Amino acid sequence: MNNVVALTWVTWLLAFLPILLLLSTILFLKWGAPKAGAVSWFAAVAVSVFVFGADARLLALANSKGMSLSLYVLLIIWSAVFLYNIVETIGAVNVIGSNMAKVTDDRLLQCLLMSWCFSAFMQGIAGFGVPIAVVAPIMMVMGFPPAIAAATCLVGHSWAVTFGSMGAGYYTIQLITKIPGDVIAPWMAILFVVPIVTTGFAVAHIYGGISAVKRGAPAIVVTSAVMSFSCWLMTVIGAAQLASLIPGLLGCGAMALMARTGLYRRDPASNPSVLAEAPQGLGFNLAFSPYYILILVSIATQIKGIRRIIAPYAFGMDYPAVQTAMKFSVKAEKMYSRIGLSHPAPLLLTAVVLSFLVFRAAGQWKRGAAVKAFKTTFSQCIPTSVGIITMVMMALVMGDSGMTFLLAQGMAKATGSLFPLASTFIGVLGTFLTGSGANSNVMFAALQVETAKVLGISTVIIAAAQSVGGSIGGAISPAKVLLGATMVGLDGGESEVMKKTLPYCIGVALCTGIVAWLFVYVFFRTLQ
Amino acid sequence: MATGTVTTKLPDPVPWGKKHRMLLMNISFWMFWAAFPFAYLGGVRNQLAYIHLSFGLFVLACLVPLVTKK
Repeated sequence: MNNVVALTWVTWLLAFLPILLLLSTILFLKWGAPKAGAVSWFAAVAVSVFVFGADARLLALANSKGMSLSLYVLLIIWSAVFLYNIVETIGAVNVIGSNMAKVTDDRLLQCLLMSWCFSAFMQGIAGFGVPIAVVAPIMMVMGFPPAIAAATCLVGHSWAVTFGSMGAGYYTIQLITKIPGDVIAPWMAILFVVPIVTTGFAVAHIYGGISAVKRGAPAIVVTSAVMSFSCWLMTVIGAAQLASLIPGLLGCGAMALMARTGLYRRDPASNPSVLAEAPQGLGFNLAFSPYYILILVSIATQIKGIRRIIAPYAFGMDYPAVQTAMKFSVKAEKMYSRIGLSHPAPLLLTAVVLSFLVFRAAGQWKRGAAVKAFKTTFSQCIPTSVGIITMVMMALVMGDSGMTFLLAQGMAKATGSLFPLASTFIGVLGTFLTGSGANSNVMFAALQVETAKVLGISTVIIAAAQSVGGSIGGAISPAKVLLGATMVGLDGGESEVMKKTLPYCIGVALCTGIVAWLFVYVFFRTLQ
Repeated sequence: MATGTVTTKLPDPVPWGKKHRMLLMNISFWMFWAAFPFAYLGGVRNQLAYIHLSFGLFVLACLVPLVTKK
C-alpha cells in the first residue's frame, strides 16, 4: 500500500517546487527548456531525498527510466526531423507548398487549407515547430499579412500536435500512464472533435472576423467531419501515429472539393501567389513520395501477418520494484519503454532509404543532401533533446518518489468535481511551458491520472483531456510563437502574435474541458 | 582646447555561454547517455559505485546547460 508523506500545505508546495521552478524560470527568467529542466531536476532530486525518503538506488532507477523514456521519444523526433530535412534539402517542401496554394483562388479557403489542414499534415510528419516554420512563410508569400499568417498557423495546427510527429505525444502518454494505446487513442480522437471544429472556426475568425466565420462555415463543417472521422478511424485501426497526417491530408482534399462548389468559386480579394521556383522535373507526386512511402510503410506494419513477424524484434529494459523510506512503492517493469520495429523511428528511416532510391532514380537526388540534412537535424535536435531528457528525468523522479501522487491528492481535494475542466488547462500549461505536447504529457500525465484515481473518475478520459489540452497549448507556446513571428519577419512581434492566438486557445481549451466534464460525469460515468 | 572626442564603442562581446552554447549542449547530451548504463546497472544490481558514478555524470550533464546563455 502506498503510504506517502502526509498531505499538508507545506508538503504539497515542496512536491510542487520542481514544477514551480520550471514554470518561473521559463516564464520570468526566459530560460530555455534545457536550463529550466536541469534546475527542476536538481529540485526534484533534493525534495525526493530530504522530504519523500528516496534513496540512491530508487533515484538511479528513476533516472534510468527517464533515459529509457527519453530514448523512445527522441528517436521519433530525430528521425522525423531528419526525413523533413532531406525533403527540404531536395526542394520538395517548396513544391508541396506551392501546389497547395494552387488549389483555390478563394483567400479564406487558402487560409484554412494552409493553416488548418496543410499545417496539420506537416505536424503529422514532423512537428516540433516545423508546420509553423514551413507554412507561415509560404502563406506570407501568398499575400497574407505576417501576423495573420503566423497566428492562423499556430492556432490551425494545434489540434494535430498529439498525434503529430508520428504520434510522439500519443506514445508518451501511453508510456507514462500505462493506458494501452488501443484504449486511450479512440477516446482522444473523440475528444479531438472539439478542437478540430473550433480551431477551424478560430482560423476563419482570425482571418476575417465574423463574416469569414459565416462564409467559411460550410467548408469548415464538412472538412471537420472528414478530419474528425479519419482521425478516429486511424486510432481504431491501430495506426494512431497517422491520426494527424492522414486527416490533414484528407482535410486538404475536402477543402479542395469545397472550393469547387458554388459557394466558393471566386474571391475578389484573391491575388496570384508568388512562390520560389521549384527544381525542374520535381512534380507534386515525386516531391510527396517520401510521405506516400511513410504512409504505406506505417499501414504495412499494422497488417496482422507483418506485425506477427516483427513483434519479437524489440528492445526494452526490465526494472525491479523499489520503495521509498516512506513506504511509497514503485512496481517492477518488464520491457519498459519498449522499442520495436513498429516504433515510428524505423518506419521513418525506411521512408528515408526508399525516398533516396526514388529521388535518385528520378535524377532529383542532390549530392550531399543526406549529410546536410543530418547536420541540420543534429544542430536542431541537440538542445531540444537535452530539454526533454532533463524534464523526463524530473518527471520520473517525482513519480517514483511519490511527489506526483501527493500533488494529485492535493489537486483532487482542491478542484473536486471540476477537475475534468481543469485537466485540459493543465495540459495547455504543460505545452506552454515546454513547447511540446509530448513534454506536457511527460510532465503532467501521471499527475492527472493519479488525481483521477483519487477522485474515482475515468482515468482514460482525463488522460485524453490532458493530451488534447497539451495539443491545444501548441498555439500559445512561447517557443512556437517566437518561431512563427521570426519566420514571417516579425522580429519582436511575438506579443502581437500571442495576443491573437491566446483568446482562441483559451476558448478551444474551455470547450474541450466542458466536453471532458460531460463525458466524465454525464455520458460515460462507468468508464474507468 | 576642447576637441571633438571620438568615442569608439566596442561591439558588445558575445557572452561565453552564448558563443559556445551548441558545444556545451553537445557535451551535456552525450554525458546523459554516458550516465545511463551506470544508472541502470547500478540500480538493478544495487551497486553503489555505479550509482554514484551515474549521479556524478547526471549532475555534470545538468550543470552544463546552466552555464549557457538562454
